[in-house]
Amino acid sequence: MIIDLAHDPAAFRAALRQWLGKVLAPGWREDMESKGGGEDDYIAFQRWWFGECRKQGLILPDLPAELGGAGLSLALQMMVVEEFARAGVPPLKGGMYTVAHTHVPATMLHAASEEQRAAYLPGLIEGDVWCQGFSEPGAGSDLAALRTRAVREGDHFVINGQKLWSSFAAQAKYCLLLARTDPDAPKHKGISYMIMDMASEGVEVRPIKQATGHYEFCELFLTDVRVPAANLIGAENAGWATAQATLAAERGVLAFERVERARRELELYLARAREAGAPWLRREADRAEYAALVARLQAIRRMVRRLLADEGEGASRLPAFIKLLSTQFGQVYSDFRIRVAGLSGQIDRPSLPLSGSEPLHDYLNSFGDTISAGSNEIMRNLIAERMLGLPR
Amino acid sequence: MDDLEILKASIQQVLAQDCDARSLHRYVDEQGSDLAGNLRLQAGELGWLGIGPTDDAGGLGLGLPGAAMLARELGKRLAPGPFVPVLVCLQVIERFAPREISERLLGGLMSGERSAAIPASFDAGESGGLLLGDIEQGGSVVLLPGEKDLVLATARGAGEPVQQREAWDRTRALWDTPADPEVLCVLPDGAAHYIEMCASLLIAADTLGAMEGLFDLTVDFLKQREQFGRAIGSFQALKHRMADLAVQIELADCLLEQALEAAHTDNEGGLFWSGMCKAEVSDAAAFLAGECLQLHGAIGFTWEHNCHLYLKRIRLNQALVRSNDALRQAGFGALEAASSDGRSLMEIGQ
Repeated sequence: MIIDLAHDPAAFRAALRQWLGKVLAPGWREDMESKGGGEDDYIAFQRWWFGECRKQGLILPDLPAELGGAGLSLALQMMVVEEFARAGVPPLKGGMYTVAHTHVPATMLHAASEEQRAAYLPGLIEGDVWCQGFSEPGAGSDLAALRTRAVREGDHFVINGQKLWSSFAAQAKYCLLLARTDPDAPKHKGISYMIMDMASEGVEVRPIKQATGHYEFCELFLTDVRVPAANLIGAENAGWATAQATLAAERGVLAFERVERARRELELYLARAREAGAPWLRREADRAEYAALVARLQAIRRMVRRLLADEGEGASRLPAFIKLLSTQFGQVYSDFRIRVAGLSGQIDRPSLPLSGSEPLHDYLNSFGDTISAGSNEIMRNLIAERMLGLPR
Repeated sequence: MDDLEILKASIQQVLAQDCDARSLHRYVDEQGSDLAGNLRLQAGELGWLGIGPTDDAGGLGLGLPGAAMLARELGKRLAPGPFVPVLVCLQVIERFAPREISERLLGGLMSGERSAAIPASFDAGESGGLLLGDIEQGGSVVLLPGEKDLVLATARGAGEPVQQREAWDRTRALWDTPADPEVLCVLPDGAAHYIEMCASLLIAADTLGAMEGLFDLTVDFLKQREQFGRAIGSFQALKHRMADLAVQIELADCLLEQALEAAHTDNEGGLFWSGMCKAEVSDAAAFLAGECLQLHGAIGFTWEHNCHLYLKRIRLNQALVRSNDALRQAGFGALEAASSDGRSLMEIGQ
């Protein structure tokens, strides 16, 4: 297993690179897309990819070894992300494993009991898929306005309500659920955080077709769903703080992953254009725009490294900046590619729900980033009020 | 705190006192103030100007990162004077001039007694021969484009005085090329790239400082100014604009760090990143300056306010060194060349 080389960073990187060079055939992506980029095929592919990474001991790189993770240092986690990006393979924590491998461990470390950790963390290594039950029709940016009710009946909660934009809920085994346990308390103080088994009676999942044509997020209808009181994470009515910890997990290494992949795609774009003798290489405006994109991305990559290196002042200031910049970058770069592609970019070819696809696909997909995890408008409020001290 | 941080704190303290808005406006309005001259001598006395050169040359040995920190603080306070040209000349002379010439010039530049001027633009045909800095008869160090390479010269003590062109930015001055300078030496191959890299870096640093100074002024104003019964900074339409500007400042800071690191490690990357840094930072700054003036409302449109001083400084910076389009075209050329050799200009030292 590659993980056994973690004590020797150079050997670790070499082994990783060698493995990545042979585990997926170079044309894997084109092969899948030529089969139509079907949803089910891609789900099966993700499970296979998870299994291959697991054989190398790479799953949950940031989780301490005693909790079942790979226990890698931050530097080695960054190395894994870099090498995955360099090889152009799917991310280690991406797609339907995003919540299970990012949000669940963060939540568990923040607030879960010993029993809960013992019950759920091993399943993550086995490939359990999790989803998030946060947003609702009436609670998006104003998440604390959520209305899904959880009423205590003996040793259970009875849940009624509706959840929205829950990615990969159709594949998920468990859900990180936010529900209102005290309707009379101020809105932030009546919310509880619990684990809901997606196989429970009364859970209905409807996939939603996205603008890209893919089905990733879903709507959940919850009717008299019984959740054991033992599934409560943290104290009753104290779920808001835990939700913040869950959302904070999207920072750091996930942002690093996003910008390292963008770097690889940006450089590949030029290399391919040169090979093809693309006409934009002779257009001054496009040349200038490309050079500016390189500069912008490099500055963002530095900012992400600052965040990862600094747990102090920067740790509170930078995540919102990075969220704004890195997600905007995806949009600005795919916008550039759409304009360069002209009519040929308007032909809808099958694409996987991964970045690095057709320009219009990537452009649409980038809105998933600018809208989710605190929309960029919410980020701007946060920057203005908490960092600049502008009055509410 | 490291040396650079300690020095920065003391520079900030001195400038807050001696380069305040009142002194600055007296200088700009030519009310018998020699703020620029005084600041330059003070910067010499306090050792600021020697921040870049090595110990052996009598400096502090903090190199370009040190010079960039100083330029940034001076930009933040709109300090008038030929600071960037002096700092560029110090770097260049120490690196490229023969020993007897550097011995003759470095001391005076570091003490603030000698001023300096450098080409305002390296774009052929763009500059019209204009120089940026201060040219005082009988001493100023002048970098001039020669027939092929740049030459180092001094302004002669006698003869026709060099013509100054009043710039919109009253905190710096533009000059015609001296008709008959005393040429000291022709700089070797490679010096031209190095000079341009230094100028790009320090102009970018000055610009970033100006962005910070103007932004802070605007944040304060939005907290104080009340309309409709509340501080206008509480309006979301304004908050979001300020948040975007805050992000641009952080981005500029990261790009400057990138350029300084590249300048330290390699030639090709140094020129590429300093040029891209100057282009991106000064364009972002020009946008910021317009936003901040607008957000101030009518008070920002008055001569008494500092808004226009920042805006003009930023606009001059935007035009200096090379046009930003030329920098991006050159930058793309470098990216294309690196790509065809299978190299990357985006490696980051760990």
